[in-house]
Amino acid sequence: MIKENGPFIFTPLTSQKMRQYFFLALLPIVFYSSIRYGHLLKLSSTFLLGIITQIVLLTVYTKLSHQTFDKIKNQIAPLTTTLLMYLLIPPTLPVWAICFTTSLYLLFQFLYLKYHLNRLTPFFLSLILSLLFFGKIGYSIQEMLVIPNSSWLMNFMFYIFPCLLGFSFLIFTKSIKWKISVISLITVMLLGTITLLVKHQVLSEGLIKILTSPILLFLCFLAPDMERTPVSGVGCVLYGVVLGMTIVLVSPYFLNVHSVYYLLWLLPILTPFCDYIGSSSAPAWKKVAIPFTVFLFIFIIKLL
Amino acid sequence: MIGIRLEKKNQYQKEIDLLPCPKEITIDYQKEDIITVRKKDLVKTGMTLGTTKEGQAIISSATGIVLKTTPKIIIKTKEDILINKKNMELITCLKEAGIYGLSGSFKPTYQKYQKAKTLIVNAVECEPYVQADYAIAVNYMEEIKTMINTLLEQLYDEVVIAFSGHDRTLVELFTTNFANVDKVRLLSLPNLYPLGWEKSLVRCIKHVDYDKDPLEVGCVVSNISTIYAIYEAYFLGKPLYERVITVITDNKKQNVWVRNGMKVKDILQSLQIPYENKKIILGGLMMGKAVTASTVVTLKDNAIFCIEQEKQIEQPCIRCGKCTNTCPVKLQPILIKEHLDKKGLERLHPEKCIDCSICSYICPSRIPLKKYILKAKKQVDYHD
Repeated sequence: MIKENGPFIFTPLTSQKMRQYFFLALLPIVFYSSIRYGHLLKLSSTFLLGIITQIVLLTVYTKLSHQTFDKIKNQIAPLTTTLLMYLLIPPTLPVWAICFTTSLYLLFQFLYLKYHLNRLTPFFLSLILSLLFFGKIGYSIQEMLVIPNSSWLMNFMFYIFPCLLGFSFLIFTKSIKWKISVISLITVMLLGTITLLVKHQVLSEGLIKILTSPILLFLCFLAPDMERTPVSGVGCVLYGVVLGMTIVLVSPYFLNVHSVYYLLWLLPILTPFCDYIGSSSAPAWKKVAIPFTVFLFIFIIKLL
Repeated sequence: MIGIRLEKKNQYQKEIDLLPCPKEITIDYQKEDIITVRKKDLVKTGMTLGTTKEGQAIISSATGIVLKTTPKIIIKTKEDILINKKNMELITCLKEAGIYGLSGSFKPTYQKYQKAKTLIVNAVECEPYVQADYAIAVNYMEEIKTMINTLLEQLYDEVVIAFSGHDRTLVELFTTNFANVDKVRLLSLPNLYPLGWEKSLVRCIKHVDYDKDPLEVGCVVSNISTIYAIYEAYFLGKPLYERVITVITDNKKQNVWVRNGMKVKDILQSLQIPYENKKIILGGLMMGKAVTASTVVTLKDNAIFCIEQEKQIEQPCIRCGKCTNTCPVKLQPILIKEHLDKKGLERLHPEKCIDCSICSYICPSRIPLKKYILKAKKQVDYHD
């Protein structure tokens, strides 16, 4: 008599492990930021404050809702999100503002748990709202990372290297949709080179800005966010191309990188479309959409 | 080549042990089959008990008295008396000796053994830890060679032997026996799952895909254990009533000859393996099924696992896309799951699933995707 169907073995990589790897991958850039910024003590206290606020609020919530702490903790992963928050919110914010952002994030997370929304959605929501409120107080750590008036190589050594190190670790542990990051980076490089060749000043400056700025962090860690991006391989490639093209077109016209938050917030609208094209059920679409994207690509280059 | 590398310990066991005949044997058959024996009849090992709807003989795997004929044939066993069915033409022999494909498809072999260009001998055992085919290849290489030569003379223009190249013994064995044989080609494949799947093999060898039957592209695929079974039937007159099975526990692994219709508990008791409070899996760890100890083993089962296993807890999907990217038939398991009980399910073609279980294996959220696909398959069949 059959009780259960196979498989009876499973890959050692679990979603919880993937979150842990993401946390580890962020560490090199966090260490670099701490050293670069100099105020190690203040930054550590900001980081700790973020975690403590989350744990206190979670404990209160679990007490009130009679749920187990572990279950909630696994869903929310306070460490990784605080680390990301640490990298993205202005460190010059007052203590109450950090607590406010963290609380806001948790509130949106609970909404996620209730309505099964996307997991990074609450994170972006809280971040955008915080930046709208406190954005003028100061720049985020990531924006201060790029060494002013220094060579590209210098920036590579001290900024791009830790970023790529974390990214390579995620690829090695198979915890990331690497196609999106790699394809979007290639698109950015390709478009950037073309703009340099046609001497389009704004766009070519934009390229340098992209490669030596926090946008690299977005491309490596936030853009391939699993839940908001396409599932299929073809869909990921398409999404990467569109993302790269949009970044090149949008980022040079904005003074800070906040525009990319909005971009990453809006771009997942394309996900169902990319999934549809990448799906095995749409062979005719595939044939049309890929040449169409190539045509669009050439058209934009012509336009530039 | 689409496939995944599964964890696999390369500790091979080439000895094959014999098991004592149990007190009772249960032989299963379909409703449409015609049974010719009656209650209280004396049957002998290898004797024909009836015929299937395809005309294939149903073979008795023990000597004894028939206790029951419906819904299954139950034989109370006695001392073995073997019936020999010699001197027959090849295709008739396959029919009369009850030869089935032993790879899992379990189709009557006489139906697919037609004149074709290529015979592909499948010695790729991609299910982790299972080594029944390995044991057959290592112990009976001379017999397999004789049979392949006979098949070359009678039916095929060429023979391709596909095997897993990660085991040196097997590679050396095939190379020494077939390297200089005319019309025989050797194909060493990487240790990927499910490369042993018929469609993957044909794609690797012929570089084309077929729809339903490999004959469409001039190929016949046969498992190496089936080739040995054909040898026994054709040259020795021994019908197919037993096969080699790998029995695996947490700390022990052995190959045994198991008769068709033996119960799992009879096998485990004979090997002195305690099975209480353990998970019994019939077939491989990927495509097998968890069963009770009283389940009857048939000729299509190639392994029994008796292991302890932790329960997996399902988590919400993180849309990592691993199930989609690793599926050998390019399905989208997670979308199939999301489209269950909804319109548009048939557009995702769940019926193409080959039950390889890679989607459930690879899922980091431990979503039992195979279960949902099986459900979707039923829904699509129902609507058809």
